[in-house]
Amino acid sequence: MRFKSLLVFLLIATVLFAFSGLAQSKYKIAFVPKLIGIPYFNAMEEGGKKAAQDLDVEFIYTGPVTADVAKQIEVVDNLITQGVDAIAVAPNDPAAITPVLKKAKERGILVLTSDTDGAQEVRDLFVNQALQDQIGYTIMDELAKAMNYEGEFAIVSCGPTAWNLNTWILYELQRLAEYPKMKLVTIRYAEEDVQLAINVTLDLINAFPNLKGIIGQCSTSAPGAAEAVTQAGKIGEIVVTGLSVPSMMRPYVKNGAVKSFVLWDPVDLGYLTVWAAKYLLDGNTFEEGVEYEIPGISTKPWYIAKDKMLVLGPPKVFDASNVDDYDF
Amino acid sequence: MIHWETIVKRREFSVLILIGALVVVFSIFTERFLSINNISNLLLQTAGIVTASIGMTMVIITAGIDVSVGSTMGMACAVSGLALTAGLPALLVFIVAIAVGLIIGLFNGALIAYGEIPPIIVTLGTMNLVRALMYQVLGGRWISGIPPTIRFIGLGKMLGIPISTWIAGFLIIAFTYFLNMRPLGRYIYAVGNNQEAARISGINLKTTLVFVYALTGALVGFAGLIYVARTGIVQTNTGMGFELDVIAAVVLGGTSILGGRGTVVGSLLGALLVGIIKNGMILLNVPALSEGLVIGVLIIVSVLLDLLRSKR
Repeated sequence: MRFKSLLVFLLIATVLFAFSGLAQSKYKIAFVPKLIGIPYFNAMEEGGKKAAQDLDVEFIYTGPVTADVAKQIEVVDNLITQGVDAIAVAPNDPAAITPVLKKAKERGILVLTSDTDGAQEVRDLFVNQALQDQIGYTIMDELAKAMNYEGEFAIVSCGPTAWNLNTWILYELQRLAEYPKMKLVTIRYAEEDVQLAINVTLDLINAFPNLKGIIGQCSTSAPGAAEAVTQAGKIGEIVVTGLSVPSMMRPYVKNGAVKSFVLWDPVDLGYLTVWAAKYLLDGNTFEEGVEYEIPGISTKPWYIAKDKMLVLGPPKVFDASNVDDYDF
Repeated sequence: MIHWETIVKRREFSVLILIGALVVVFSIFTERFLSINNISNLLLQTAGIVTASIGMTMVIITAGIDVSVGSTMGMACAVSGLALTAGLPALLVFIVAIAVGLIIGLFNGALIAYGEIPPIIVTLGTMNLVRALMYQVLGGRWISGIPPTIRFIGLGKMLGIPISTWIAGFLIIAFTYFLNMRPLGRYIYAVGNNQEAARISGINLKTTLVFVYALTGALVGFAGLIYVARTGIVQTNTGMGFELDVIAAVVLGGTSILGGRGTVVGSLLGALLVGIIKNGMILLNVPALSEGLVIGVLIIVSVLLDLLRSKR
């Protein structure tokens, strides 16, 4: 009698265990952008959702409404409490977010960074949109081509302390050495504010009458600079390029203020982030030099072992021929 | 009869002198400071701040503060941006933008006057509340593709001067008259000088306060319309920090944060001063990172000189 009930108990326990195992087989993968509510991260969310559907995982997209370091940490902390399987973060401040990522890791959560890197010792993988040097080089090449390889140009960047923006500027200047007839006259900052970018650029156009080109270094300063060139009636004299999203740049590609601009496909980046999290959760590892074929995206990402980094692909150049194909 | 002595003693006068000095310096060291193009830029850049600062001047005269104007402007931008892209006629959107600001201002004013909650607390609350609502209204997206019909308010010119500057100028004159000549205008000063005395002398404190905050909201709503017309883009963070620019212009212009004293002309000068400094820094190609340093020092020096003179 006793033995029998024990047997029944064991049987029930096994079934329950198997059941709970089944229910848990759907991974919970979270992505925390720098802030929610801007077109760029909306596009990453779209890619993540698509991947979640294709790969049958649960995708959680949540973050602060402003690029607030403390709020972002709070969001990650909440995700740890919720007990997700993987957290991917685009840190607002790599140093400040390290402790909470460490906490996540200690709880057995897979930790990734995506879009912007964090401290290498805490994250398991960085999903990188493109290599920093290639982004800087491509922007400078596009500007040089548009300016016919000569003349004065200015850079309108956003936050003066943004690490990624400053790194790209560094590589742009490195590449500038190949264009001896081009000259950088000034670098100004306009925060993440279109109106400020317009004001600063209008002042620049006044200050430097021989200006032939402008680099808008981030998604708000590039359309701001293009709007200013349009307002000043300088289309054809001054050309704008830079890093921004098609939805913001489209009118200026159409009116001629912008010939081309540079970015990557954030939808693909979001997809790759979720795909990579699932791949690692399944117990796989990445190998150096392999080009991964992933059905949901248009590029073939590769892995760099020493940086624990998965690279989406080379930066993408948008111009009149393809700007209408994207709705982010 | 002009009383030179009283004019010279005023804060507005010292700001004007400072502006004059900067204009001289910038036009000596840069060729383009006094060009028509540059002056028109400058006026365009300050029109929104000047418009909003008219209301803020009155609020600060009543010894209050309104830190919600950045969010209010953002909300006005979001609503009018959506209305414009939905194809509503420009004239209707004009009214909508002002109405959005007016409603938020009325809400602030009612809580401050009838709820007797300190203005900083009320408007701090509204600032967050309205920003969250704005986020809902936009659904986390940006608005672009504002139709050209409205954009003449932000980009158009009359006699070479931007239309938004004409409007701001007209408002300055109208409200200078209002504050000096109309009974309600004088009540605002009275309330700021001594609430109790104002109440005993029969001034309706609550109505005056509600009026001042509602008016500020309406003006800020209009400033939002200028913003949309000018940039053609509405971001979820549009207007963030705008309250600081407006408060800086008002305080630099000599309005006492303790209430009872100040003019809208002073605020106009304060806004122009900051605008000229920012503009001049770029023309002089002062490295961008020291820009804030120069503006900060100039602001402190101008207030300090003023204090020293008034003590003498």
